[in-house]
Amino acid sequence: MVATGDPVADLILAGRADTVDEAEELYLDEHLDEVVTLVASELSDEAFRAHPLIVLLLARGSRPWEDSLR
Amino acid sequence: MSGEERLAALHEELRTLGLTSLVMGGHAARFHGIERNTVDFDLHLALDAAAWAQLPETLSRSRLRAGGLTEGPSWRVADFRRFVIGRLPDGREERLEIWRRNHLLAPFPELWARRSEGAYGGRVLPFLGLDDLIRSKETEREDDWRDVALLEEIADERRLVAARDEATTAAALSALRSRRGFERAFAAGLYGQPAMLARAWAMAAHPLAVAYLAPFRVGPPRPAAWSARINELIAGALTRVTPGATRHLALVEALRRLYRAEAMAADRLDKERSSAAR
Repeated sequence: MVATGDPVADLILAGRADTVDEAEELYLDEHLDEVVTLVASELSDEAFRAHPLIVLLLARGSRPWEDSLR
Repeated sequence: MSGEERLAALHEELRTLGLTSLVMGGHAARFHGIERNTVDFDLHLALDAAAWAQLPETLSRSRLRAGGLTEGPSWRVADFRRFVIGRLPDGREERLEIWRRNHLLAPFPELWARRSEGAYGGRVLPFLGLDDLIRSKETEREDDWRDVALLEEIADERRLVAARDEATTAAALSALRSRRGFERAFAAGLYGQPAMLARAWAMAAHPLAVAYLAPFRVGPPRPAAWSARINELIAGALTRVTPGATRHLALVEALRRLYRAEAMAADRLDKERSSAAR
């Protein structure tokens, strides 16, 4: 199998997930240790927030408090 | 007759049979604020083993028999039974699912003491309390976890509305599990008072609430009450991040995923053991 460079797409192409939803869940569950590593890294806050793993983790996690409610 | 009215009629029918019941499942989720469709009726009854064994006969003495009352399969018949009580207009089975003991929940008397009551289907019905309902949905099913996420937001909202003094605010902070709840409380400055945080830290019992409090480092280390990975996050990485920063929120979400995965695995294992023991 040729890797696409997109780990979520690769999970589907490898037959490990049937949908994007399943693939994103699987990817996150398999990379929780990497989240801890990123937290402890020297990344700036901006770079940390923009990291694809963190973006996906927060997007699929508990919903933020909407700005409109502030 | 609407689903709510049908549930109210079922509850009344059981009451006339001398059966005390708490509503759980989808109708309880609706009662507590989730807009969702549900066709099953899920109840928790207060029954001893003898009364449980007699349940089909007991139900057959009611008007439920008119709907063609039949018992369906159960993977844990000592604790859970399923009955078909009729047909919906679209042809699907109308099911009554009854628990005597739920492996995720406290015994019935405790659940009853914490119940919520309110108007539903034209009557006042008793429902599982919100925190017990959330716990009841920590199962192996993905759908249940979608409900958990919404119910946690509702529970947090209620806690924050009820926070009027130091005691109630500390109680709220000790139990917040949703990002919405945390961010709202954080923006309101509720996490800015060390004495209140120390009270909340001492009371917090759920790993997510502990995870939101951990970076404030307001009390002694928590006892290692959960799995090794969760304990490690709480005692380690979460104490080294800035409260409210993205790194903090990311660690909470990592812990949330661990907690869910472990709860799903535990529920699956319990179901497998129950099936094997039949």
